[in-house]
Amino acid sequence: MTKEKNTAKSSLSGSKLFIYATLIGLSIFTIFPFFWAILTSFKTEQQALVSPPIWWLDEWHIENYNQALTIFPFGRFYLNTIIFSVVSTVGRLFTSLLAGYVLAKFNFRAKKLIFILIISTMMIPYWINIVPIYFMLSKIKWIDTYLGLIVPQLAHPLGIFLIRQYLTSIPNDYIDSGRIDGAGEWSILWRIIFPQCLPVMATLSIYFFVASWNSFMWPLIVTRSEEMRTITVGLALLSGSPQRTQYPLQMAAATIGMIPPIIIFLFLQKYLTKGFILSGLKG
Amino acid sequence: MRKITFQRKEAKSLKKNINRTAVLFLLPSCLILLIFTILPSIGALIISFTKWDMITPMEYTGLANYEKILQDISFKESLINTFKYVIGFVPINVIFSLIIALVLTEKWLKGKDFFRVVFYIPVIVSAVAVSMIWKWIYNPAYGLLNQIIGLFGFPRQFWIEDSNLAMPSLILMTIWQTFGYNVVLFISGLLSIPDLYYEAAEVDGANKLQRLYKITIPLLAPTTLFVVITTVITSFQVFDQVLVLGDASGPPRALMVVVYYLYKIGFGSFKLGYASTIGIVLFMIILLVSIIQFRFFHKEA
Repeated sequence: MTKEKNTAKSSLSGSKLFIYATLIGLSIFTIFPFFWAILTSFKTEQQALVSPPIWWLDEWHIENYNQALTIFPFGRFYLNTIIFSVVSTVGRLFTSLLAGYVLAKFNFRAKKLIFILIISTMMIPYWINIVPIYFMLSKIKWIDTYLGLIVPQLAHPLGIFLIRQYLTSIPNDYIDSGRIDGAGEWSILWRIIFPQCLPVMATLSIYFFVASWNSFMWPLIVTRSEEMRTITVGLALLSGSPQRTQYPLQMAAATIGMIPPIIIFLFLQKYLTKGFILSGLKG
Repeated sequence: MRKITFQRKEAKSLKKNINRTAVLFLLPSCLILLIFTILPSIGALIISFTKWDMITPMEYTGLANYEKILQDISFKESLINTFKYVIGFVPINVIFSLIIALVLTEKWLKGKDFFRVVFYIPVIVSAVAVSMIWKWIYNPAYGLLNQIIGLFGFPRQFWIEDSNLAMPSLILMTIWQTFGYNVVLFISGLLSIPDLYYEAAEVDGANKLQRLYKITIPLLAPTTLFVVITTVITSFQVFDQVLVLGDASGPPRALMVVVYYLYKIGFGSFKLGYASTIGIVLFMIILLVSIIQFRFFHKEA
């Protein structure tokens, strides 16, 4: 009896051990390519091209980073990406807050129709629109400008939808008391609605920021000159350039491009990995 | 009496004020979505019936582009490649993510948050940077993967350049990059199933496997539907990875997918009418596939 119990227990902990081992193995598999890329970025070309590979460096070479910054203006790409990501994120949050508030708390004719129209734009894939938008932007001379890069990105159906869902679950009392106090709609929005929305806006802001930072086809098509390119387009240019076989250089550039989103994520990960987006969609 | 009319007047002006606010607040979003999403998609539909290079005037050609696409071998090939990618990528991604999510919601497990965050890191990195890293890993001469399989005595492979291995290589890379996203979605779906059901099942003596089949999988169906449909839709649109994994002349033939073909026709050869036709056709295919999935899941439920 006791013996049986013991084997049952040990086999149980054995399966637990197996699960831990698998998860740790999977974690290593997940992280390893990043480690490998960063390690390569500090190697000389000769060090990168040896077999068996070098796993640790006595001397870390930062030349590749310097070279990456001189071959292409990665500083400029950074600036463009920051401007593009920050402005379009703030803009999307702002327009989504306004529209989400109205769709959650106002009553008027055609409200439902407008809501359905906004949601249905989520179904339209962006690449179906690239030809007409490119034409439109070139007609108003917005190709290769910040305006062309940013303005079309200033509204997002997911933002409107999530803020609306979030606000419908909040009682009207606050708004009504604000109105009775004679507060204007603008001050109700900022003093009452905005603070309520902070959790969902935090999730959306990271989601939007990372999506803009990583977006590729859009800046690829809307920008043309080197001064207007973003990080992702710059990386793709480098990976197709004559330097495409200089892997330490390639990895240095890739590292430069991926560090900001990773850092932001590690600080604010709870807003993304708690599945907020889905909980909003289900509500 | 005077007081009542006064109130009514005030209420009326308040209502008018509110309506004006509603219009004002909706305007930015609606204008941008109208100008940059809705109108262009109507435009794309119109352009798909024309021959146009943006320089010479647009020429209406009726259904010519649609007839052309039916006979276009390159399009057919890109569509087959895209389907290969979707069929290879989606089931593995979804099942794998579900298994990991089931493990990560086990009560006894320690370090749940750690694993969830680690698995999410590649999701946060751009597909462009990830593809650059994996292009190096897949390098035939000095890449890490060949070095590793070499330790086990396997011969060197050409991964991306090999027409049989290119698609599996792309699929492996994108699964590595994106599984953490679906893990998070599945976890939030699993946590929303009330413990009550499991407790009742335990009292009835249901074992672990029975609980999985009788409780978890049916109650998770809405999440699964959402995950499957969004994963299918995004995988039909694969583009960034293919562009970076290729060389100066474009991706290898085995990785020529529809969105890249559209990009090539539209912005490489400036056949904008035909590019729009490709877009519309792909959109219809995605729509059809989504509807079939909805139907399928409804029947299951």
